[in-house]
Amino acid sequence: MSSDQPMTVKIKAEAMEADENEGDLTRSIQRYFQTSTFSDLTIITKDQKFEVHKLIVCGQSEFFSRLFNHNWKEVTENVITLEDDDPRALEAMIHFFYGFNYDSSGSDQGRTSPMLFNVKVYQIGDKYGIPNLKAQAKEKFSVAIKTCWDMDDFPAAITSAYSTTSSADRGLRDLLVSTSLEHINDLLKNDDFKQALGETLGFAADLVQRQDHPVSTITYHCPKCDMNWGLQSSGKVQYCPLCSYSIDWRRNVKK
Amino acid sequence: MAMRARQKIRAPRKGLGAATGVDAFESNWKALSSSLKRIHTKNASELSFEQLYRDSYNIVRYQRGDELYERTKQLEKEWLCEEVQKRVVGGISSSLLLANEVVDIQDQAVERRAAGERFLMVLKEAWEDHQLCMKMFTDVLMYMDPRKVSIYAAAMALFRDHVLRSPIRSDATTTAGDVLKSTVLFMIQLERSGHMIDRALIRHCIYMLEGLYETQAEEESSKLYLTSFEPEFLETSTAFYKAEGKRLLEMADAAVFCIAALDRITEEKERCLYTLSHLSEHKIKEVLDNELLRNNLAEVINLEGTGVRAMLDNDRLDILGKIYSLNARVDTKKAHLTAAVQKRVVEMGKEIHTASVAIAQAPAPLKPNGAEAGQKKDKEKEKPANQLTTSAIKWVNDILLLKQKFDNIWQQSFQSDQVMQTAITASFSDFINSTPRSSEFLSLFFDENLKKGIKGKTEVEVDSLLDNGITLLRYVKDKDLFEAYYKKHLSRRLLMKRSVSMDAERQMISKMKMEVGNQFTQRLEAMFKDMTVSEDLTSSYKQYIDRQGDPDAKRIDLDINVLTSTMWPMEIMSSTRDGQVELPCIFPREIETAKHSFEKFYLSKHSGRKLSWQPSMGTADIRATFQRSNGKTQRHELNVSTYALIILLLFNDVPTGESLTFEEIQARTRIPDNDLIRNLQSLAVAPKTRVLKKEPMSKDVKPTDKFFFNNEFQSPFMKVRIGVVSGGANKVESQDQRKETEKKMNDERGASIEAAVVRIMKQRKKLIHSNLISEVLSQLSARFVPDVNMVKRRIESLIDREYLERVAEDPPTYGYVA
Repeated sequence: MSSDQPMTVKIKAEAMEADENEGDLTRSIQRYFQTSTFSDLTIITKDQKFEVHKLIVCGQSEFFSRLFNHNWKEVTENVITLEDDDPRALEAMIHFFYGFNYDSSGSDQGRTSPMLFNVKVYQIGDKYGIPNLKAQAKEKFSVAIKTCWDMDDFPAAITSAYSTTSSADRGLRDLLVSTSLEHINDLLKNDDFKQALGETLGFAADLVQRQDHPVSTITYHCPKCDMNWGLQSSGKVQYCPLCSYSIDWRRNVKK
Repeated sequence: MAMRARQKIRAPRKGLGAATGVDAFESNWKALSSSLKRIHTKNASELSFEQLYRDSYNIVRYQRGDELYERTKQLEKEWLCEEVQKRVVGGISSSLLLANEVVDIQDQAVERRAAGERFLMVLKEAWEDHQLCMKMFTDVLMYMDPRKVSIYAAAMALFRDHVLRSPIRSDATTTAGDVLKSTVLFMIQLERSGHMIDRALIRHCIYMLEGLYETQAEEESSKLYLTSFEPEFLETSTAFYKAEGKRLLEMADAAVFCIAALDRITEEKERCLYTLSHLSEHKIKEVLDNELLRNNLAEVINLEGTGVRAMLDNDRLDILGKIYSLNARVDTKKAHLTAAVQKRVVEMGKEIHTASVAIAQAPAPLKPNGAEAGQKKDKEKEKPANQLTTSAIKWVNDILLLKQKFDNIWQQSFQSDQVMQTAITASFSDFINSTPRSSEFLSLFFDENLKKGIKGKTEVEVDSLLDNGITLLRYVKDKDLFEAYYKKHLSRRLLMKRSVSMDAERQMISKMKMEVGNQFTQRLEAMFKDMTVSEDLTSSYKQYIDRQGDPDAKRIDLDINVLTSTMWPMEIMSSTRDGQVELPCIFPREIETAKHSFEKFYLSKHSGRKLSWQPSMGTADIRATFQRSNGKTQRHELNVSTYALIILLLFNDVPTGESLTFEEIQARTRIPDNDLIRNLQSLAVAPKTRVLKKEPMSKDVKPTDKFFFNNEFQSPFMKVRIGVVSGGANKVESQDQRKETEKKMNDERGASIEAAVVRIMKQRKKLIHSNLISEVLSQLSARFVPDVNMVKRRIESLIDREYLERVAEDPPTYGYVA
């Protein structure tokens, strides 16, 4: 395996000093990672090459531990190429293995938006069987989504999250659905969101099912049949459901 | 690659449309399935795990996991049917399909065995390959959602159905599984008949059966091993061990049987560990226990000539240990072994008894039986009595040896088993108590040892000797009888100073106290106390005499033992004989003076007491002067009994050459006839101690016999001890004496029973008859086993004397009359 331009991975100094309380073991492992000492496996991504340790990698990832069960080609060569996945997400994965905090807010290596990036990391965690990475990605994603829901990349995050994990994996989906419901009125003005709503398999269905838990209930009074009726959500109302009377209902909200 | 933050981001569109999904699935599957096939042909090292994983990951991501699962199963099924099954069937040679019966023929067995090993090898390889491939499949398909039945388990079931359970030929019903089973059973049969087999190979095939299940749920109980192999294995084993048991029994050697059985047991255990499965361990153990042991053990134990009896007789501790462990396996009570051991203990006990009787009777073979001995003349009576004493001691020693033997066997062979101990103890107790004179014999044994036996022995030896005796005492039920004899023997030892060591005597008492209880030794201890008190009394009497300043040179040195009459044996204390009060014998003047002097001294100290003198128990040292006919004088110091002293003192007043007749002596001394005869015998008849001459010279003493002082008495010693014939030594009682002892015993028991009844009734006030009886029995059991009739009679007597009354008839109830 040869890469055109093998890069030595630089770890940011701040990450090194991230946590004074960390034990010696973690430190020394991080040092070994930086110097490639004792490394016994090479991971090659689209644009990078990592010298890692089987013990560290296999202990955290089911994919890697299963890889070494049998005498596959990768095992004989001690090299594994992961060219199908986003190299930045893989980099984050490897950093995660060694106890570094991966940075999701843009970088000199060229990053996408934090939300989208975390979706990718989440997918990597899912694909390679690393539950802790998934948890961390989800955590970061939930922070990002709070502030970035009205950004352009929110619909893209929805599509990406829904297409990269199985429907049983609720980790990101629930976050997306609840955030969407929270801001549904604003989001519905966004064409990209509407497009995602239409195209993303399962998202609309999730949204509707979640609506069972109302954000608020507005009660209206019909002047014609003199009855009160309630409506969940802020959907537009045209006719009284009891007598089909049409009026500007915003004026007939019962307090 | 860098992108600006504001740039519009589009979601990736690839692979999401339904149409593209199908194509992607098919292309992924195509790549994946061809790789999976290469795994089957062991070419995995050329494959990239990442590639395979990516293919399956993608398929699952396109929501096609179910199809992936089904297709993989299908792929595996085809592989098993087309490749593996053919390979396995190819490993079956025709000799394996032969009916089972013909394997007895040797060359066919060899051939079949080779064929069997070949087949097992093929099957083992097929199975191991399958397992390995399926593990690799599982790894590759890791991302596939967890299913109710994992792909691994499903593939195992496929192996079961399409390799083991499919007919080996389309026209036959035999399956590879059937062949496997019959082959393994055949191998086991070979091993059981002593051949070496390839255990590891079989073990591998058994692993396979253990790893496969009847159901998809894979419960423990549905292992193929348990459902389709074990039952037949146990069945053939049962048949085998039934035959084996019969075969071993026919050899009629218990030792061989035990060794073989134990070997079989270890062999089967090993088989479960190394050849079959530990799951069968306790089941095959059950088969062995049932077929080999439960059905045969009773017979083995009782085998003539080699059974437990012979083992016990020959001290075959090892084999006994084996038979014990065999019996213990199948029966916690070890009933058969216990019964055999008990029987032998009782038999041996009886043998000892018979032997002791034989010794006792040996010198007097003319006597038809011992009952008439009382009619014989004195001299003849003496001899069997001595013989009897020896035999009594031998009896005890033999029993101790027997006890030691069984203790040893119990420890070494029976693993100190509690049940066995109880049984052995019970048997000992049985036969010891079936010997009517055991109490007496035991007491004689102690007597003998305390008098002579312990001389020159270390403390430890004495201790263990006494302990042994005490052990026997534990078995004796009539402890009161033993006490009576012990008291009698002890009193003689004490009064005649025959004990070798007072320490040993005290030790004995404290041992008995531990064993039987305080109450039992109370009177014995009182006897010791009397002895100590008497010593003090004697010395203070001496001081008293010295103070009196009586310068009488001929003063008698008096040693006195004052005995409390209730504590000492009655025959010593009583002054009655045959129901008549005898007049006290007449003491010579010198003695009479000393007696009065002591009485005066004693009564001044303890007023209100009555002293009665027992000359029959005393001894005296006298200095005798013999005037030789040649004018010389010879002095001897004689140690004689008090009666002999009285007799001899008479001759002080008889001039040389004159004589006294028996009747004269009797009239002047009033010594009871029996004692007089015995003393005269020892003075005039016993060859070494003829201080008197008798006319006519014969062994018997007749009323008309004349006695002379023998001035020609010769002895090499200065001091001469003249024992009283048959008087001093403790001996087995004659029939008459025994009758008397028994009578006394019964009286005493009657009193004990009455005391117990009164004690109980006083406490309970009212009690039903049966309850009263049982309470009495339990209260007295420590001392003796009361006869129920005797208890009834005593209750009647108490009612007559108005201590109790009948208060109800149904059930009969008594009340206490205050």
